[in-house]
Amino acid sequence: MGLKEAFQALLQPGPAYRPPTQDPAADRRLTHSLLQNLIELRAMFGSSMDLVIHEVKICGIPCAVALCEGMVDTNVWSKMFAQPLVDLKLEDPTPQKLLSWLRTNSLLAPDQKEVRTFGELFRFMMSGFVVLLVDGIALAEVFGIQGFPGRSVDEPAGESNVRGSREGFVERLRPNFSLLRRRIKSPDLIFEMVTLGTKSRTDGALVYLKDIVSPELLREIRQRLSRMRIDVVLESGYLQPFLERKPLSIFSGIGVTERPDTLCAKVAEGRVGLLLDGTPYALIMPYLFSENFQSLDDYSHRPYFATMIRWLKYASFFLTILLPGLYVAVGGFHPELLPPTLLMDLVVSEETTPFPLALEALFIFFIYEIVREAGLRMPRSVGHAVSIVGGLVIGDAAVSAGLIGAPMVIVVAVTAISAFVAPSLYEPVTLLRFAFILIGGLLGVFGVTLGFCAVVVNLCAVNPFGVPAASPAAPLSPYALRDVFFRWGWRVLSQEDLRVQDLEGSDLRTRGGAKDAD
Amino acid sequence: MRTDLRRISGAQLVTTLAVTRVFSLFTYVPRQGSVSGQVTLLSIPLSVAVCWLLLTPFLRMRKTCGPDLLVECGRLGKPFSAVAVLLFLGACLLQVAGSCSHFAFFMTSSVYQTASREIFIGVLLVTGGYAAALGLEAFSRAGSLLFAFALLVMGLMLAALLPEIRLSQLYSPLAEGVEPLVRSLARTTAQNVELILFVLLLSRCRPGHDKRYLAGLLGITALLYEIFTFLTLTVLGDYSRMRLFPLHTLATVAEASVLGRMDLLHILLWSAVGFLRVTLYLYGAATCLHRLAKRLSMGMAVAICAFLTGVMALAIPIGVWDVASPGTLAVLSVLVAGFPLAVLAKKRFSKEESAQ
Repeated sequence: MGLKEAFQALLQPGPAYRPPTQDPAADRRLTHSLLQNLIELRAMFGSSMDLVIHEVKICGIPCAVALCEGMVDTNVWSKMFAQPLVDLKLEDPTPQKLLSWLRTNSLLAPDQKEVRTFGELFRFMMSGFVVLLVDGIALAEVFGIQGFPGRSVDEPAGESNVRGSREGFVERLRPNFSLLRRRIKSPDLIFEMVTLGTKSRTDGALVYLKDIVSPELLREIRQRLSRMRIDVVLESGYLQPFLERKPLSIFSGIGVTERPDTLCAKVAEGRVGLLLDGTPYALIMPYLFSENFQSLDDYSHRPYFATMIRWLKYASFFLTILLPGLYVAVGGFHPELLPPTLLMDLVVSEETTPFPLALEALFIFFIYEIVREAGLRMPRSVGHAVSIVGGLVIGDAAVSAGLIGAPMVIVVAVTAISAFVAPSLYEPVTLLRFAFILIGGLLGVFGVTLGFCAVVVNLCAVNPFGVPAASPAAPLSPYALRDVFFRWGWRVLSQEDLRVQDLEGSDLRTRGGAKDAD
Repeated sequence: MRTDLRRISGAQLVTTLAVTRVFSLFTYVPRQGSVSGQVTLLSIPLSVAVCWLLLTPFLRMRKTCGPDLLVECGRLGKPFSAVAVLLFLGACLLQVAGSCSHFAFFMTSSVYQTASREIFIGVLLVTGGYAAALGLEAFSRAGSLLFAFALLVMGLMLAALLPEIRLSQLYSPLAEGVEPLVRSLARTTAQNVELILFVLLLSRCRPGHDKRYLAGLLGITALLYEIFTFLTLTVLGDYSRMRLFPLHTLATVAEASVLGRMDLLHILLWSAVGFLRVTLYLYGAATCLHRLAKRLSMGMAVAICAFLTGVMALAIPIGVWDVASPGTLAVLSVLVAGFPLAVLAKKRFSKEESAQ
């Protein structure tokens, strides 16, 4: 094979790849024959053992109850569903009369729907619904009596706060609806169901306030979700790349939260949330960069304290990405810029170490990331041991062995702790930290400055849903700044509702968009 | 959702250009026969008036003909349009090359004495090219943030230098006659080379506030120049004429009690300002090139411009580039006043013709 052919072969998709397609049986309609419907249903499930079908006669009419084992609350099923059906007495029973009774006179389940295709039927069964098929009727009644095991509402692990609710989202979709509905008791709060993944058919829900959200934003999100081609969706992170747009950036214009109160606050500002069955993490679209530094506690604390904490977070962010790089750059290229006493200390500690500052920093951060990742993935009891060993290796043994200088340990410690002040930025922060150490070691302060400028321009280019991620600082929306550099009191904040489409530079022109118009 | 070229706000354009203009202030190198600081102090406000006069035809053209100068030049015929675009392209390329060369000169002479200038030119062009490829919207947002940072650093420097001010160093600017004032006025006006970008990019802002934007740009830059010329004069005195980069010396002298020396901040700011300047002019050059070769994508146009300016920057001998040369003044006059005047004259001529 020539070089040209080899290059072309590299660009071709692999032979094993098949674009995701939908099951052809999904669009097939149910028939009037119960037997034929059951044969089709069994064929769809194949040899799967979790399909349960009970063929019964209700008032003498042949019927079948189908469900997925382990997905239905058997206690409720037997008392609230099976018993009333078995005891049912109809005069001159016919399939139509039974259907009419089911439609108008029964209260077998809080959630009852009619389905006409095998695709719908299959999806409801997979979601824990009980299906009732009646001979002579070309549709199925489905009853929501879900009873699959799930975690109860608990305090969110990644977004804890001092004041406010201790409730976090759970993996099941419907309890999450109630968590939101309890907080916003408005008829304008809409849960719009979406099905994602051609194979997994995962349930999701777009959450928005219909009187506030920009229709253009909603249309764009629906469009991007419908264009998405993926087989299996197991976590909201699977969806993010399909919802984001160019340019390639380490910052995301989509936020993630596991707190219902946070999602409610965002939805009230005209954003759209996306809840997904099977994950307690909801997506927030669009998400501004400054929101990475906000927490629910900020709004419970007094304004002066909240403002101080906000500044502390900004400082921590800059410290965590720039401090190691600047330390390496100044120590390596511009030692004359350091105060004389600090310079002497640095010289004394670095005299005993064999590596240049940049290599020391890279080495120690590499070790730190290994320890962090191991601590995260290992069982909790072992994780603590790993942390202790890691702490000893980084903090004491490495300095005693003369591998790294003591000032570098302080820099690493400050940097590592600062990274957790804005946990949602951990991924970009880690990458940038390594990049700035490399740049600082190679090009000094000049390189760090230029790298930082490029990162800022990149952040300013992120515009995922027509709202600049760098807003309201750039472009400047003075009124929106009341909650960025300073957190004003609630008397000021409540004077006018902030809506994401009103921000300067926003393309979502429903209210206040005229600000940008010609 | 809109996908066409987005507009930027006038404030973003003004602040970005003001930061870019600061580069000339930082890179000021005293030359043989340079006029004294007192004369410069007087020539700065006068240059604002001259610049305003130079841009009057352009403002008139925006009001009566159309918002985009190059589009209006296109109405005067293809050859005229091509000449106009080529001249703007050349001016932008020259500014990028000159800025890179001068920045590398500063770095190799004052900060990294042992480094080679090719590294600085290369890195500056790569990062500037990347930012330019991301679009005007992105880097003008970043520019407004940088403007805030620049004001902060300059405010700190000002506060740190206040105790060092010696007013006894000041004397009458007209003590040496009018001739130095005229020379200084020409140089100070020529330093306003950002007006080329103002003319090129104003069509991307909301129309209707042109005078306000121009006043903002000229006002902010004049104020910054006045302050730093005054500080250089009253803190360093005649010693400033002996220094290669007086403002860097000023930053070294400035010492805030808690923060220590200011030269690190100065290097940071200067690098950032240099980056923004290169980005802006690269973008300006790329838009001109894109007009000439429509099939070329903006990213490719930026890459070609960056390559060309890299070669040009390396060809400029070390320390030779002068931002305020008489040639610059001539080019500035032709680009920001000459072409709009031609557009206005053509319009008037065709009006008279149609009336006859």
